[in-house]
Amino acid sequence: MFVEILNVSKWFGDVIALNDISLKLENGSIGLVGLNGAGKTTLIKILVGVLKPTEGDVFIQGEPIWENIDLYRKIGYCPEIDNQMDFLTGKKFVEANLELQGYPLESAAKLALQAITLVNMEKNMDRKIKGYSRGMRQRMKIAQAIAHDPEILFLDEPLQGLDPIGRHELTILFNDLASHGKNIIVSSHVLHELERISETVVFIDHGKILGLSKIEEIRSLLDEIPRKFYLRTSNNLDVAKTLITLGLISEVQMASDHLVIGIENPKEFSEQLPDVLEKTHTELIELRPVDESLEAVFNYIYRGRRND
Amino acid sequence: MTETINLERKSVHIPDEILKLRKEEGNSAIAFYLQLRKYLSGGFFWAVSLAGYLFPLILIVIYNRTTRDLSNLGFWKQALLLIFGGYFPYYAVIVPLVLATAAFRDDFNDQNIVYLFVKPVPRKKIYVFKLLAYVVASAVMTFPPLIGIIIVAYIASIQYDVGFNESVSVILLDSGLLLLGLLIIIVGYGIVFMSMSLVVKRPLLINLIIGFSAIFEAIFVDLINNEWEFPYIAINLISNWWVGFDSLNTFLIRNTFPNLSPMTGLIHALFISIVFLAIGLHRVSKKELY
Repeated sequence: MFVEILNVSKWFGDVIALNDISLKLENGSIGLVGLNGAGKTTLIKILVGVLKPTEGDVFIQGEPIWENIDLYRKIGYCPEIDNQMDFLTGKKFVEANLELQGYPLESAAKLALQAITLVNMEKNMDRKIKGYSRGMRQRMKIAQAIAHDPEILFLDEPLQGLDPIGRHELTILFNDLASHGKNIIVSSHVLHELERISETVVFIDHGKILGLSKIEEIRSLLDEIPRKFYLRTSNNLDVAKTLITLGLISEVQMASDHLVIGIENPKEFSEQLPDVLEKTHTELIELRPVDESLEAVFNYIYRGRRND
Repeated sequence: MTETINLERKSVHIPDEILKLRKEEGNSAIAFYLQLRKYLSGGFFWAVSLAGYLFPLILIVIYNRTTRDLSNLGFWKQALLLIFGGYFPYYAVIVPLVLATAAFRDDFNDQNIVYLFVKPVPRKKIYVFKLLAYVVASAVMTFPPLIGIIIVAYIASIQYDVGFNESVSVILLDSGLLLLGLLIIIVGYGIVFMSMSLVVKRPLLINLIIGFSAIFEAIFVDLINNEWEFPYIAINLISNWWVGFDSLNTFLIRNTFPNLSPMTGLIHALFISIVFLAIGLHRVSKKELY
């Protein structure tokens, strides 16, 4: 067990950000998922020791984190903030963080280069951070978090601001880090991102933990959740008629070159769609979910649990 | 030593040769480097510095153009009086007010303080190194105009054969004394303002009130009369230890400020600094980042 949270509450004046949270996390990669304002960042800030719980205790590897600077040798933290020491070059930023970790400058330079290469920023590392795009800043933040080879990584919305290629590259990096034995706690409001990074997902809403699920469970749940899809084929009209006749879709919106369809049972739909396309002699051009937002999944789970 | 880092591997790998160089505690002096870089990279810093550098010279030119004959000893005395007795005390308070208040406040506002706090470095050391960076930055801002004025006045006095008749050693000693007085103001106010920025929610406003209370008193309550305020302490020290440097002697009003002995002044300055340093060090250890 690398993180233990015991009855933690955090108040900001009259506002409660975390409400009596208890959680024990085993080694591995853990996703924290919740809507904006759910309490993810507050929880991560408490876990890295920059916020103190109003009530309760937090232990990292069995030790309290608050005012325990020795633990920071083992921790890498990528905060959610966009600004990071704009007056430095990217390389100097990572080097400075390594020197703060106790490495002499020469070693820090070598380790910084290694981390920067892992996030594919070596071509831009000598430029001032001031001129970086949001995605480049994000990569450098991740470089400084991983550069000292920490045992535990806390990543707060690490894929925010990245383009699809960047997201893909860093997702692979996180998976590789996890496969090398790093414990990762990563937060996001996009479940789809966590699905590819985390083994376990913790749902947070209004400062409370709704539940903890293995990613396999989430995936199967995603198959059951009614969802909307963007469907583009070579014969949209016939496909729509057939899908309605078979009762596979609950609603359909026709656009000039595509359909938006509501599906009650995604699993059944995905099994029968190839037959439908074959019957109608239609070619599939594009099929993608349009509401794969956390909110949709989250509402479904939350509604379901409340009904239970 | 030849270390190789395998970049093929999609994970960080730290060779043993490098790993064993790692110290238990991080290099807290990096907080000094980062803070100083932050100060010096700001356009605002150099704009204010430049204004500070030019302002005494501009004052002299204006003064000369409008009223006085350069060969008149009174001109230099009055010009220096105008500078040291007029604008410089404000400058010596404004610089610490802006720089010291910003040292922590800005890092907390933009949350960059996490890069220092989530490291194996005691927060108290971060405070101390930020303070040192502030002192250096403040010295860069305030020392050159002061030194510049002394040099200009000295050259002019030779040219017109007025004032500064003392030996170079006396002039250096008294110039050093002026810089010491300025340093006392910078360090003292720096500690107060930096610590207050960790205590209150609106540090700039509170520090404005603290910083300018001395100057308001100077204006409205018959000169600077609070022996617990840094400008008063500094001026008393200077006037008590003054050696020669006659052209400045009048302005320093040696005979007007005999109330505070150098030792008492130093004890007061140290007492205030230590109290606020203790407050700052305590607060920085406990402060949360919202």
